[in-house]
Amino acid sequence: MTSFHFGSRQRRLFGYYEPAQANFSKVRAVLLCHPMGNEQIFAYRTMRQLAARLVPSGFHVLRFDYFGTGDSYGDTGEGDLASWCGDIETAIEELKEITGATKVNLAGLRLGANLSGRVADHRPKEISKLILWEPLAADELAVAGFGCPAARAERNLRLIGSDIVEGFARGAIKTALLPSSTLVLLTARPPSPTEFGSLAVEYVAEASAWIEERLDTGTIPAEALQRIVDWLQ
Amino acid sequence: MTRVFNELVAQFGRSASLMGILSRPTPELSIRRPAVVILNTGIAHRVGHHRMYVTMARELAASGYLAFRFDFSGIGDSASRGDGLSQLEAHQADVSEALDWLTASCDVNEAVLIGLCAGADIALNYGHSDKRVVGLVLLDPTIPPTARFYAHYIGRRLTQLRSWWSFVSGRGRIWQELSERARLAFGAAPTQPTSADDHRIRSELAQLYVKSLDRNLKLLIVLTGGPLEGRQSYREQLFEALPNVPFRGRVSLEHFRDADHTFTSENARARLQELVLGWIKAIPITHNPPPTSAGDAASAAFGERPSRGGAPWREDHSGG
Repeated sequence: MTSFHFGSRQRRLFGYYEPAQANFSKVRAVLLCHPMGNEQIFAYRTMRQLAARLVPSGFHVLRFDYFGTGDSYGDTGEGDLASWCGDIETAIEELKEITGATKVNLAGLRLGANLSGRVADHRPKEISKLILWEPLAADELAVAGFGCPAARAERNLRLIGSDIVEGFARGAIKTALLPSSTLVLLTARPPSPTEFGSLAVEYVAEASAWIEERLDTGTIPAEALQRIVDWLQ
Repeated sequence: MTRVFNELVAQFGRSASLMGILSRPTPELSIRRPAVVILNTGIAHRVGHHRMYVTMARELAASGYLAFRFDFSGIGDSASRGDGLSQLEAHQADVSEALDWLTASCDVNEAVLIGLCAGADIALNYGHSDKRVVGLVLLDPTIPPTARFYAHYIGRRLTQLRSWWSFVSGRGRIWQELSERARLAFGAAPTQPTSADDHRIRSELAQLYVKSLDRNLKLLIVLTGGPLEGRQSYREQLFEALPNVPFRGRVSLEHFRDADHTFTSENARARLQELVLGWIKAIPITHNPPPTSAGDAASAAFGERPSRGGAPWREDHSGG
């Protein structure tokens, strides 16, 4: 395992890379895209455990923090939806450079799912498989930067209903040009019948990425994590 | 914006299984002492709630201090130790190894430990035992309840309709506390482990504070006003809960009445940051001279971008 900084001098990002443990003829790599704000804190153990399950299955895994979040440089609240997509693209390039992979898999949780979907829509040739785990609806997306300075949170609230937010939101997923191997994984509640169009959707009950009341127990949603590993295999 | 700090990733410890991030001033600045070590809050990783430890470490580094955030074994990105230690023993060993790393890599001989909640308790447990520790910042450490705490607690709960229903129906903490205290008052044996442990916890805490004061550790204790289920409800609760500890005049005690337990308010975090920085600046340092500049400190074992062949660690001089 290797922790390191990458990206441009002006936008240094923190990454955590774990090489595949099993030898496969084809290089397979997964980029994990965190949620935002305190959700990143709450879900950190789950994302780490997801990486721990992917590595022995033959996947190189890179986790990283968006600019202005986690251990990356930048002040809290710095950045926006478009620039965080740019961070995912930077991380994709980094993962390809480290592993030699020509395409990568993306797995995003909550806001990470919305951002992953947008990147996959824009760079379809570079994405192999895509997992969108509990993508945020428009109203949630507008305030996703929970923990940001108040002024920014107010600005985000004003974004509710805007084209920018609607374009990133859960409701836009069914019209995006996503890889054919895309899975929408829901763990909070089942989807409505037509919500995601023709995309594969799975609902795993009682498998939220974290349960706030049980954070101290270190509980992880093992069934959901296994489903992700199986889908990527 | 030009940054006046940079950060280094460190893998350290007995089997290099612990992971931390050192924030330090840029090389042209002199390093001030003491160094600061920030401990995990519960199982939240080294970033801290609301990213408060990242901000705190960077602002300390910008003021000339080395600030090290790391994950205890089994938390965040640090692996479990696998040496059979209890959780408390493992955390103590982790803190010791973090200080060993700072001493070996950055010539650190004086450090302040900062912890919130469980992190504060670990800092209190460890601090007196290591001569490199010169001070503790304890944010919402464990404070036993007092009669006044119960009075506050019950008074606040009884203003809530839902609590009334729990009370009338014999459920909830108020009912349990009152019935337990009534039982004890009439000479019955305690039924709950929390009551049975109460004396032991008070005794252990008192001993730890006495040992810390005997070692002349500087203590900054910050209590939040807390939510309804908080550990304390008023500033002097620590003094009243541990009456035999000679706190008065020997600790800095602050009560953030409007802050919650994880300092959700940005204003509360900014106020805390200012308080901690001012308190650290006032600590007298008497030991060895520090490295002449940040450029001299920390010369090995830092995070490098992995290559396809391996070769993990490198120092990041970018400064963002």
